[in-house]
Amino acid sequence: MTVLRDQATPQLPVEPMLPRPFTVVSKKHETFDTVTLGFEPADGGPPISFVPGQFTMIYVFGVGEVPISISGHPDHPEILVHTIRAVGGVTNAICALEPGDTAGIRGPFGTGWPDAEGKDLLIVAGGIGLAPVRPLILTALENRYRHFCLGLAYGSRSPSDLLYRDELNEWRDAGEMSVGVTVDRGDSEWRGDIGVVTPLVKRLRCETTETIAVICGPEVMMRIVARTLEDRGVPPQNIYVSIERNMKCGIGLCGHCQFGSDFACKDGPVFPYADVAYRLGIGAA
Amino acid sequence: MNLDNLRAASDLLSRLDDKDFDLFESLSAELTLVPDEQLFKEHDEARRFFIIEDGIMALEAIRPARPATTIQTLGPGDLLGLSWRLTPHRWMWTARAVTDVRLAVFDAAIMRAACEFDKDLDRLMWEIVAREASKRLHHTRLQLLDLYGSE
Repeated sequence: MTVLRDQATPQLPVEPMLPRPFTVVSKKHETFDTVTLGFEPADGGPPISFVPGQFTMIYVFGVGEVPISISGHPDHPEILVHTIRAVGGVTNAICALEPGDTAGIRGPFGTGWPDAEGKDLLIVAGGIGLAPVRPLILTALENRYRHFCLGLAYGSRSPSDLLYRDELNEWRDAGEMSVGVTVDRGDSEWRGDIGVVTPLVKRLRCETTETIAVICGPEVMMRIVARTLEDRGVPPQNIYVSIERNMKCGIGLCGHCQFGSDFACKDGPVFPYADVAYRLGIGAA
Repeated sequence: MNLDNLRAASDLLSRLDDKDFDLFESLSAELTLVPDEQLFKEHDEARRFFIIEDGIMALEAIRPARPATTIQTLGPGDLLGLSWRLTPHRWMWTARAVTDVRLAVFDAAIMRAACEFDKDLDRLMWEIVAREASKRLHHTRLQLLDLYGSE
């Protein structure tokens, strides 16, 4: 059985229910409905330190608050980076923020991705799910010596929905990480794979008993990828998924995100697949 | 053609016992394609089937006065071609190389005759074709769910 370090469980902020003002300092349009924003503290306080996998609650004053995964480099917290997809009232308001605007941020909250030092690391992401794993990718690339095999399989709806497209090409071209990208529907200029993400996992050849697998995306996708990895010999205790539920307080008090006996905001969002497989609607291995 | 390097990556080859693997190896040839080269065309007779050794192949639907639409891509280890096994033995889609491609090629008529002679092999080949068809149906249904669009 693979012995892993514990997942990161950092302490909560001193006043976890009090939003701190942050100023938008950068904005990049990733797709037609998704932006990446960079924030700096506006209260003179320290930047938010975090571990890959954690999230914050972003508050647009007068509109509302939502949980958003942190998508920046954990070693460079001076600019707090979030990638947000506009799917409702609050996220539309966040995506409408421009440099110079202010938002409230609480956090960071939740558990982080596992430390996979000395193991192969396989990252499988779907859609907006690439954002929560981006900090893990950046850290792994910067410490490449820590993994024998490093692979990323990413699936998206179409070429125009791909996140971080320039970075994907850079990661592939640099040769430090095997990168497979597929879309459900191509366009006239797409020269890559078309289809679901599971065949890419097979090609990455990181699926052994010494692999730590990290999966983030729609739950249907996570279930199927996890099963595929299990079938290929990756122990379920070496597979980690990100479970996102209706998170409100972020600190396990309100109960909105209760997921069986756990709270997604406090005990997650990163869970070992072995612990949640049954709750995802299938039997445990 | 030596298929040893392909055996582990191919679901079909990995399920063969040594006797049947030797048969496949003796009947195989290698084929290379350059990007955009067409391998077979929709409704043509399915006289061969293939296992992709390296590169990406696209299955396409040809549309009049428009570029072809790629339905799915297949990569290393994948079985390309199921129609050789099912009457009327005509390709349902068009196959085109997306990248440089190397393929192991097998003659469909000879393989059907081998299956007629060896019922165990026949049973195994039907199972493999059915498994592959089931997998592609599963994947297509997942694509239809539009999971990334409905998050």
